[in-house]
Amino acid sequence: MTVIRTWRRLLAIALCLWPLTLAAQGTPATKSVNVDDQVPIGRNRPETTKIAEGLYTFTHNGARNIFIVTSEGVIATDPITPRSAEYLRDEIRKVTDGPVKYVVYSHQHWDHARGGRIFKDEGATFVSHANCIKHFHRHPNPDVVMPDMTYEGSRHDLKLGGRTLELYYFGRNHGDCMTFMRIPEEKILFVVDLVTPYGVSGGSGLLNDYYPLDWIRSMKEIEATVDFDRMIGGHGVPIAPKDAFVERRRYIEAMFEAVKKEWEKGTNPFEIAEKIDLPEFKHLRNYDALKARNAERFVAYFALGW
Amino acid sequence: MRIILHVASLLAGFTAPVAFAQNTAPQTGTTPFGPAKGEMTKLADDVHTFSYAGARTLVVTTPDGVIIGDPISPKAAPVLRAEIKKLTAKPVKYMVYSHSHWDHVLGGKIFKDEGATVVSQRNCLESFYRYPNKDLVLPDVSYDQHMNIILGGRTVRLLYLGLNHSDCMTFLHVPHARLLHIVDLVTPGSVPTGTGKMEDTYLLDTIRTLKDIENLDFDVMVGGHGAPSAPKAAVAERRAYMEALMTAVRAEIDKGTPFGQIPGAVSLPQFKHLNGYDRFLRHNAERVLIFNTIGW
Repeated sequence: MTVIRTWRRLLAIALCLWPLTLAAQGTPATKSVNVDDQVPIGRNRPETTKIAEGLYTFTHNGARNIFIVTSEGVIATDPITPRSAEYLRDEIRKVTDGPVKYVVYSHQHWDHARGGRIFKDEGATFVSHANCIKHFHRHPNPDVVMPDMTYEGSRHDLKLGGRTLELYYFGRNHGDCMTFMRIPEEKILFVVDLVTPYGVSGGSGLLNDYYPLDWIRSMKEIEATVDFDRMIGGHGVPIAPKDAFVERRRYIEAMFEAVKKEWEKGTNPFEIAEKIDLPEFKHLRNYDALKARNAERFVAYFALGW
Repeated sequence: MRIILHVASLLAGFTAPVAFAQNTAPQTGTTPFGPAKGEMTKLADDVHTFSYAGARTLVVTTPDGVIIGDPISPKAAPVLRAEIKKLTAKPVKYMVYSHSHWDHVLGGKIFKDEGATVVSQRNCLESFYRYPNKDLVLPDVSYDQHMNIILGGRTVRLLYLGLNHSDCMTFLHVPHARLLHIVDLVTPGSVPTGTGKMEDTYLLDTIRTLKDIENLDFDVMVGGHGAPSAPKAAVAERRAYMEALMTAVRAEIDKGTPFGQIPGAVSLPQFKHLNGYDRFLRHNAERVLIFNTIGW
């Protein structure tokens, strides 16, 4: 069952990404909208959750973002897809007449960063870590709005209408331009992709664009230096306690150690992934379906130093 | 049920004969990557290729010493050293790493100890420092775009062509033999194997690099795995395969094939003759699908 659910989710995400590739080939945009509508209800339905005064999380297309409403306008984050962004705009309008002043990208991947055009048109300033720029140039996508503003180093504070969104950079981990966002009043951290609460690493399970050791390092550094009690993921449930973050870090550490053990024992590298079992994480969503695919990435580290 | 089988078959595909480093455990006659025995093949009077357990490197002998490519592994390197001794009494003067991956660059200490200068493209240093490995000798010299090694009247060119497979790939060009050593980007007569997931490969940049290589002046390529050598046409064939794969995956997306079914739906009959086609096509296609979904 889990497997089927997983693939349904994959399918939903995948289908939603279809418009992107159509648009990339110059197919009329109207067709993309139709395709979005074919996505199974539930995964596709836009949904906004109020987390605290002025702090909301929005999900559509299997991805999740946050937005902060202030007296001087809105700080939005990943627009997700063109269709998602339209829904997001409507959702924001339900709680404020103010304009979207900022759109902050968590990272460069197309399942989060597309669709910002409508916010750009209303005058929003787009923000990302500086390292994202080279990726946007290398793999151009007509649905991605280029950042107007980038930050370097480990920290940047975005202030608007008396509120602050703290942007943190911890080096490479998932991609090399990931921004973690903290809402200081609530001690909430927005963590995209590195943690999806209560599940193993999802999507296809292949840990695309993950650097395993840096992933663990980044999470340890965050736990040690960033003050947060709760987290909002870039996929999955609206909000979770910090424990979910720690659990994910423990899972990938355990995965790394288990693969290392097999590697050092001399197990045939092509058989290691299937041998890995971490019973203490059996309760995680998609564990059975995706653990071996998660493990493959760690095997590749030991095989290649990558 | 079919969906479950699909996942299972993806996992089962993770059993393949080449492209991973050897683990450190003692090995006897065979390894998961190939026979644990050295094989030196003559390509020209002064150019040879050596393979061990599925990985391959290049040896250029000159009156003043030897230039080699990757040492491969701690087990391969002493065998390589012994094989070189059969060709010449001269010392190894230069050892050039193809890129940063451990299935090619480990075991170089014995060459360093006999005085070889260890060379890599500059970007490899970042990977080497980030992931230290006790079996890795750090480069003495690194270069940015292009470097010539001139030894005993021969010139070997080191070419960097940007991102492709990793971000520090060196192509060794031996002009007098009209030969180019191409590690991992092309294994002649084969689709991308290993796990088929094309680890650490930048797809668009790989295709661009292969086109750049097609414009270089040489006749024979030597891979980092597979047959000792192949005509230059093997490069165009791999490039055509990659392009066809990109197009085919895109076509399935445009047709509305559910993403979970795309890796199994792609078919490239014109490449059926390539080694690993039946086994790895779907894994290759999955990698391309990921490019289309997240831009990576």
